[in-house]
Amino acid sequence: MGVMNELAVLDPSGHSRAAWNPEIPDEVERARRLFESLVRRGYRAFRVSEAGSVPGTVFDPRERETVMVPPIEGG
Amino acid sequence: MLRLLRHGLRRLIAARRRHLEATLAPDRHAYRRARTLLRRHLSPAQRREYERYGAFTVVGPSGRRYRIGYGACINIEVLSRAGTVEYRLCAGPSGVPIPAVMLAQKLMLEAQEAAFLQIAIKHPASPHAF
Repeated sequence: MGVMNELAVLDPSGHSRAAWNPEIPDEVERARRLFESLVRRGYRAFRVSEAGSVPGTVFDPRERETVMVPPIEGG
Repeated sequence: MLRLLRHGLRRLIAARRRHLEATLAPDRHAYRRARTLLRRHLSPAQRREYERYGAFTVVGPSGRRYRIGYGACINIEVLSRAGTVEYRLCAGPSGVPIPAVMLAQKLMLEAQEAAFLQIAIKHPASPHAF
């Protein structure tokens, strides 16, 4: 089994994970569809690494871990 | 004036609702999962602070420091250079456990500070200020 990259989606269960192997096109496509549907619903994507986090709006299948944050509202 | 009051009231109700949703979440498993993810994304210094005080400090791209406390609402302290609390902020996602709210706030403040500040509502440093 190769490297598995992941989306961590913040949700009522704490978070959900979607993993894919960047060398398997079907898995990459499934992750891309999920990423894009979340972004359309107002989620923000943060690529996280030891160096820090970087926001992004385009799916990059090579990213090791991306955290998806639901829409933020002030109160 | 009436419109401003109505707008303020609507925001207050939304903030209360978010806090209650996050606080009353009956699912301990969800809380633990959110906390695990939060801890994994804290720096070693932030993790130490969080374990000790239940709060941690983040620095935005502007250099401004914020302390994110345990909570889903008005839980962000904006710190002065001297480390005193200037005011508090309230903004976060709805319907997720408190540690997930704190992680969202951390990611936003560290990577999208300006966008977060546009959304967040300012509150006095203490309930008796302003």
